[in-house]
Amino acid sequence: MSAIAGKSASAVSAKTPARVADGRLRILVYILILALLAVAVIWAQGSLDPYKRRVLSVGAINVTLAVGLNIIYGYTGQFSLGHAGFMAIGAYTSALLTMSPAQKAANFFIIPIHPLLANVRLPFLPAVLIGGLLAAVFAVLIGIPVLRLRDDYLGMATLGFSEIVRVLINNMQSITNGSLGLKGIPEYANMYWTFGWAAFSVIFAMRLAKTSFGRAFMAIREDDIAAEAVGIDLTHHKVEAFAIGAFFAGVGGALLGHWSSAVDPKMFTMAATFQVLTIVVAGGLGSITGTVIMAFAYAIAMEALRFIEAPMNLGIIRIPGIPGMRMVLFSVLLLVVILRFRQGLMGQRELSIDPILRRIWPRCVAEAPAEAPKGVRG
Amino acid sequence: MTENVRVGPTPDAILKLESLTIRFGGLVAVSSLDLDIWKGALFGIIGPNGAGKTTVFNMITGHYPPTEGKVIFEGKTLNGLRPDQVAKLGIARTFQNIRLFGNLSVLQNVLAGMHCRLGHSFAAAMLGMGGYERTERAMLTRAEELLDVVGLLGFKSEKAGGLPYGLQRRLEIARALATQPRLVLLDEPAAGMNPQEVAELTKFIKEIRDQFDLTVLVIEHHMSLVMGLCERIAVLNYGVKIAEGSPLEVQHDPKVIEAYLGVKASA
Ligand SMILES: Nc1ncnc2c1ncn2[C@@H]1O[C@H](COP(=O)(O)OP(=O)(O)O)[C@@H](O)[C@H]1O
Ligand SMILES: [Mg+2]
Repeated sequence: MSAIAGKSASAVSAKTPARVADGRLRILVYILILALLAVAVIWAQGSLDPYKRRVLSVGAINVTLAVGLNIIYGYTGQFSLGHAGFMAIGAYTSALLTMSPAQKAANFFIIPIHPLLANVRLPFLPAVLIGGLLAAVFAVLIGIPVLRLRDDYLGMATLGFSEIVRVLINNMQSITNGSLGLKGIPEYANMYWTFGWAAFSVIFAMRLAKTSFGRAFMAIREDDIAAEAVGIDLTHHKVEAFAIGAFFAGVGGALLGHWSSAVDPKMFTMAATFQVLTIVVAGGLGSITGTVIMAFAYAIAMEALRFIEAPMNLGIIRIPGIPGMRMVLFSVLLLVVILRFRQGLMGQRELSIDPILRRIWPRCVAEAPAEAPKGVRG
Repeated sequence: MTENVRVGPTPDAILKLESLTIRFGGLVAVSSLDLDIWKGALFGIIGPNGAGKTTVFNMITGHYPPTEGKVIFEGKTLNGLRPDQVAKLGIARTFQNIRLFGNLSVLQNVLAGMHCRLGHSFAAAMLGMGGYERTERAMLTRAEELLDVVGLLGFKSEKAGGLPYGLQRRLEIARALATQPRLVLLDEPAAGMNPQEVAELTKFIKEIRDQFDLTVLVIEHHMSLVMGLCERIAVLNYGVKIAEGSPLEVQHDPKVIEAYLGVKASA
């Protein structure tokens, strides 16, 4: 243990200029990556066939949904199975806000739509935002009592919430059109929107991890008793993380509705939560790059494996098509990940641009010496 | 009887425990404990295993609600406050079974300890506005200074959970100091250390007490550390305070000798 007297900040602050330049270079590279992504998306939206565009859009929506769950479960360690409920809230809210009065009237033929909703009409962005925000409001309301629970109890309580949302949607005929769902939702969710939101969610989560709040979330995940002992208000921060995750779930749900042009309660069962959970766990809890990779891998695999649900002719035997086989396969995948590869694809690590930066401009991103040179000490 | 040097005409108690009692079912883990800790003191609580020492800490920090009695810190009653509220008032602690944020880096552990003093909103932090970036840099500088103080600067990027045991104990102290406490509670900081490490630790605790202007309350199970470190000692046995005084007084108290001999001859 070194002597304490006469210690000055000079030893540590000597690194600061390099750190600032390092930060600027990094931001520049991030902007470059975003610009490249934007060009790629513009090209894809214009040139790819609708089938490929759909697959990529599903991947991007998966990113938004899974980033949301990763903030709740991966960052903060709160095992939530309520994602589908938040997705449903976002999907229905935004759809009711963007559909034309005529379209709504056509949908609600059993019981007319509630007069307050009959004539509202908003552009896509505010509708999605309101959908996400309403999901976040619900997260705060249920989070305050429920987030005191731990692990499996929390999982059950949030799953219960999600099921309640679904039952309510099934029964609030004049608001949600019940089990008939909503059809003819404007298909606004092109690749600009799905990838725009995906990029936003990723930037949000990566920035969050670098702030004091992100560190507080992760401290709670690591050891909530110790986190509390260093002055982190558990309920406050858990609810905050839960609301953020629910917001992205709501946004993802809204995108899903405006991508498929229809929503109904069956889209938001436990299976929907389970898909997002698979992506997050397989990508690595707490790793955003892992989440992004698995979100697209999942979307592509869902398409590529479509054949296993089709009837198969194996010469002598004819296997009839079994709908749901892909979900079985993914459930097995999740089991294997949980049993054999706890860390998922990335663990808690991120793919980093640093090694590349170090190649291009070694001086600037050089690993700062851990111990300052003796001469600098005051 | 040796008069303790810190007893002035009006001793200024930073922490007062008033007939503090806690029952777990039928077990009275701590029974009517009265304790005055003076500002700036190095105060020791000793006693055999299971005597109720850790439970006293847990009642001070709000982890356990006392069944009866009061905890008064700087004139404020802490009863009913949550641990995070107690920490914000200026009481930091370490744990007997080290509790670090294992998958976070050494530096992040200390930074997490500073979160409770962050004067910025979530939005300001996310957007890096309203002076947040300056605060973040200042936090980083201070965290590195603290790590330097405990001799862990060279390990700042390592995973906390991967550190050797002795270094984990130091990191826990650095994280406690990061909360800017006025009272620090150390639960068996010397556990598992050899005599030379214990000597170093003794010196270190005195240094941080002086440098950070702290009051330190140490739980120890080993008499030796406490004798070299503490100015005043309370002895617990079966949840009851059986003696209090200077190390010399306590060491020669027949009740203490009996309690210790009854358990372990040289503990
Ligand atoms: N949460 C609890 N529930 C029940 N009994 C407890 C609890 N915490 C401590 N005890 C009991 O209280 C007594 C004192 O424990 P403790 O304060 O940990 O002793 P020590 O002096 O070794 O730190 C022990 O008998 C222990 O079993
Ligand atoms: Mg103990």
